Amino acid sequence: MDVARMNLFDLRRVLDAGEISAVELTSLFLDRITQLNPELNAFITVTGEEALHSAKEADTRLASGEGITPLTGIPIAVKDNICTKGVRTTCGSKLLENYLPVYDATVVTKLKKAGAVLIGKTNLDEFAMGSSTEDSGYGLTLNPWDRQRVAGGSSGGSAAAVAAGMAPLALGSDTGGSIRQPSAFCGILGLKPTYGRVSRLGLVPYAPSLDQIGSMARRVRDLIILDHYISTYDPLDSTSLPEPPPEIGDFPRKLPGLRIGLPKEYFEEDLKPQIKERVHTVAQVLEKEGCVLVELSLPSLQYAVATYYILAWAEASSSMARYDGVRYGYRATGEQDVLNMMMETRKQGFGAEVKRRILMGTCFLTEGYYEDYYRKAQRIRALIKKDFEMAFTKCDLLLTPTTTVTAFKIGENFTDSLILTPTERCTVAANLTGIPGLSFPCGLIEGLPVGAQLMAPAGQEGILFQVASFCESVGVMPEKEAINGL
Amino acid sequence: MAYEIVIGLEVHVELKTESKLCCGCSTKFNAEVNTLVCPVCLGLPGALPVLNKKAVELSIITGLALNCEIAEHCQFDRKQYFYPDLPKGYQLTQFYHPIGREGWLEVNLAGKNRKIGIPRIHLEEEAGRSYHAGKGIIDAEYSLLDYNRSSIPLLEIVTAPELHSPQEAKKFMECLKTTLEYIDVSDCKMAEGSLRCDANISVRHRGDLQLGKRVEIKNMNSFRALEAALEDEAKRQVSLLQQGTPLQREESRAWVEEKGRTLFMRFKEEPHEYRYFPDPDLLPIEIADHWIQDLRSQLPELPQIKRQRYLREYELPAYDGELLSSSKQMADFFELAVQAYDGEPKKVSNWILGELARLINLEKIEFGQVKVTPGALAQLLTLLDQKVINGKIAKMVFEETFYTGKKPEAIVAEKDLEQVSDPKVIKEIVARTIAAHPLPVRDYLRGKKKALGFLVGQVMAETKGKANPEMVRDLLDEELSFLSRS
Amino acid sequence: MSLTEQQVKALSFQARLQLTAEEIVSFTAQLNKILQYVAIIQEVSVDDLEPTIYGVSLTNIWREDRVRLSLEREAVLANAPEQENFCFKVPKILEED
Repeated sequence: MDVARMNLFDLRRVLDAGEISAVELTSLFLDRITQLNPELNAFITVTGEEALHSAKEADTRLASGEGITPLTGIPIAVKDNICTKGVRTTCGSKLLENYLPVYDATVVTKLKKAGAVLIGKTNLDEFAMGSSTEDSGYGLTLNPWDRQRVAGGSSGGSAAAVAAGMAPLALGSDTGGSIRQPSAFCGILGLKPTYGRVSRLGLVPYAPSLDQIGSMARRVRDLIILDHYISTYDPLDSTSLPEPPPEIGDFPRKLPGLRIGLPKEYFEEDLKPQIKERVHTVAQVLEKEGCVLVELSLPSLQYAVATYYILAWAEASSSMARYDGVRYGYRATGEQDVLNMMMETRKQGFGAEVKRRILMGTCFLTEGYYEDYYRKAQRIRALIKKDFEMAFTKCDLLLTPTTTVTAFKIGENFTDSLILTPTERCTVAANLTGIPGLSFPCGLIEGLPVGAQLMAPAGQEGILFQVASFCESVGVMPEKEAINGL
Repeated sequence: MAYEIVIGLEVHVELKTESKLCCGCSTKFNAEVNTLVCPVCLGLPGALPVLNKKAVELSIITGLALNCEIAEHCQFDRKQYFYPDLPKGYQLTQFYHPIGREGWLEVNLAGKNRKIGIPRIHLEEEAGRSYHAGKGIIDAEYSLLDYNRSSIPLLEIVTAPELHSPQEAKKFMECLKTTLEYIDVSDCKMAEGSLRCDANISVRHRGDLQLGKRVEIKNMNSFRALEAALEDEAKRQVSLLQQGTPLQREESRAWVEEKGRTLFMRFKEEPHEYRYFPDPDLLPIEIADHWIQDLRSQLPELPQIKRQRYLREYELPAYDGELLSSSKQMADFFELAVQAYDGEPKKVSNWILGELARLINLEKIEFGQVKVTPGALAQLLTLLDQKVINGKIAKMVFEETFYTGKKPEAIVAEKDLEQVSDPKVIKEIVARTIAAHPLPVRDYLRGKKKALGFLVGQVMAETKGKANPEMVRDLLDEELSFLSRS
Repeated sequence: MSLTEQQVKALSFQARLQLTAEEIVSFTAQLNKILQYVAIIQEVSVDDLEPTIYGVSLTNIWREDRVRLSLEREAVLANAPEQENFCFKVPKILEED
């Protein structure tokens, strides 16, 4: 049975029909991981034993017919910055190489309850700081479409795992585009939900006011189901939204008449012309269905990346403070006093990108920078929010490219321009404004996938699902998938 | 030349909540190390704080009792520094928006009521605790950390530099402690660290406008230590001024109890760069007017007000009023006893401040542990007034009530302690006593008036102390003068 | 605004990151490049806008004062690099804060 190519609906059918057991299914995925992962390096840790154990439990459930959910017995890959009790959670950092969480993230608890099988922990840029997984302490993840290229990041491991059929579904986290960008690079779907819709408890923070956990899949329906099972109000996360997420399949609107905004700033500058073309094709398909295309402008977008850098890194410098070698994680040995132990631990434990962001973020919070950079960036964040609110009075959702380029070659990101890659330009605004952003594949350029991004007002994931679902049904997404070549 | 001492205090009060500020761990004192710890207060990656509402409420109550303006809006900020007892690398505190501002506490200093300014009070979390292995912090070889205390809610109360002697500082602290006990927001146990105080002190020539360089004194574990440390430091600074070598740099000093001295710790460097910024994990607090009004209406009568009322309503001397109101439990006891008693309130006060205080001191117990009820004291006083018992017996009965909790009436009945006031009975005993003691009688008749005391004692002894002493004296006097005439 | 190597060294101490002399040089250059880029935000005037601090606009999110079970001590110390007598053990503390 070629489970790697099957979508959730098919997997569900064969499991429910008893054509295959959850244990067998999990074994098949584990085999595939054994076969592909040594090269692709999508997983930092493969949890074979635990996975087979939960698969066995899923089989018991399936046999009893009780408590079966759409995820029962389905293997899911989890980004390695999401805490899993007793399963090491490295965050892609050498500093946490042997760190064993003593509790499960709320999303993990939810998935376990639904009977899902956690198959492994996926690679990422260290502490989710990066956009290629080249900044992982555990080697980079290759793009299944082209192994000379990066899978994107920071959720590159999850994107590659799903794209290569090593798991049908995966969880990622997105602070400035870390789900959507690798999803675009690897030709899959990725959702950055509304801030507060998915509990952050157990997500190791990078920038807590921007971080969200989200779903990654190859089919819209699969994405919707995973999103449904992780979305929840969590009293243990103060920033969790009290409203329950909508029911699966609850598509509130009809497509005809839906106003689709095309903000011009997303189609300017360094956008690859073929990407522009692909996204416009999507727009035309929607127009044909009766949607109304609205040209509009989001002038504050030009400040979004700078605003994101300032806020995310300022917060990051604080998020990283707890790794001091005292209570958990790596500790430099041989130091005579605690100050030197901390300095040396952090020097040896963190990679260059994390250090750079800590230093820059520390700077933004010092006197002299605090008002002019950090506070000012928060005001610009308010401005961007206002611009988006204004835009959503003129349209129901926004359609943009997810990235301005397709997956770049390994090492290409490390020019001396260092951080200033264009990959975050299209994605950061959704994090700054807290709105949902969904990236879906909309074609190939020179054999590499292109991602289109949909954004809607906070809480309106439903409309994104609906549009993506339509696009999928009319064949906007490429027929070819990375799996075919593997 | 005259010198002026300027003192400001920084007080930390552990609030009386069941659970910690940001997690559900117990705040119990003296538990075994690291048993009251969870992912939140241990700063594990991915853990998130959830605010304890009670801590906010107790802070508002304190703010109201200290005449503060309560903030309409407050938030938590991260105070960032590295120290092994600080698990997250930052302390949650209220830097930008303290919960209370511009308050004051009225203290009776040198016979004058003065309002000592309290510019701010703010809520924050407690750090863990480090134990230094070795003789002291300097020659310790290593340190051990216990996080039971980590994240217990702490209220910081800052005074204006308006105290002008060590005695005033001590008096202020006593008064503050009384107030905090009245509103029941803290255990206020300095020995257990639930009430702590650091002091800033400087000395200048009287009339100087500018303050001298100040010294911060830490490690004072009792009011006595506070006074002694400030005495020592004031003396040192005055002598530096006299020698014409005033302090050049601000410094921190520690009070060392065994030496009875403050010792140099370190110079205060540039104001520490704590890089405060709002914590994105805890959402802001809006304090509605009706909440404040509601809490205000629940405030008990505060000691300063109570003291004044006692003078007015019960016509107590200032001394009694101050002492009685210095403890809420004592004041409550007093008022209940007064209610139950028809006689003069001053008598009640005398017994509380006299016999009861003596026994409490003797047994080294707290007022709250006392077995005597206000009703019992009222009963005792009534027995006295009705001359059912005499003063001496009353003390005896009271002592028994104190140790056993038995009601005075019951003790009197049980032990047959009722006063003997029958003149016939006493006359008989008087006659017998005079007959039995010819020598003292002769002494008395020869003018040694002291001998009467002996004879009274003899009569009292014969009645086991129960005779009405006035009657004994009168009848003896009568009999003896009869003898002298004959 | 730009940073000197001395300032970067001070930042690295504040962030408790031991840096080599070469790292200080290279980070100074990199940070200045970033500063140059983010300076773009100085173009726009937003003084009339309240800063957006949080990801959601909720207020008064709290819990009742109830004790919940703490972790087992074994779990607390499970990841401790060094421990003694159920405490986390660290090299001696020189500075007192």
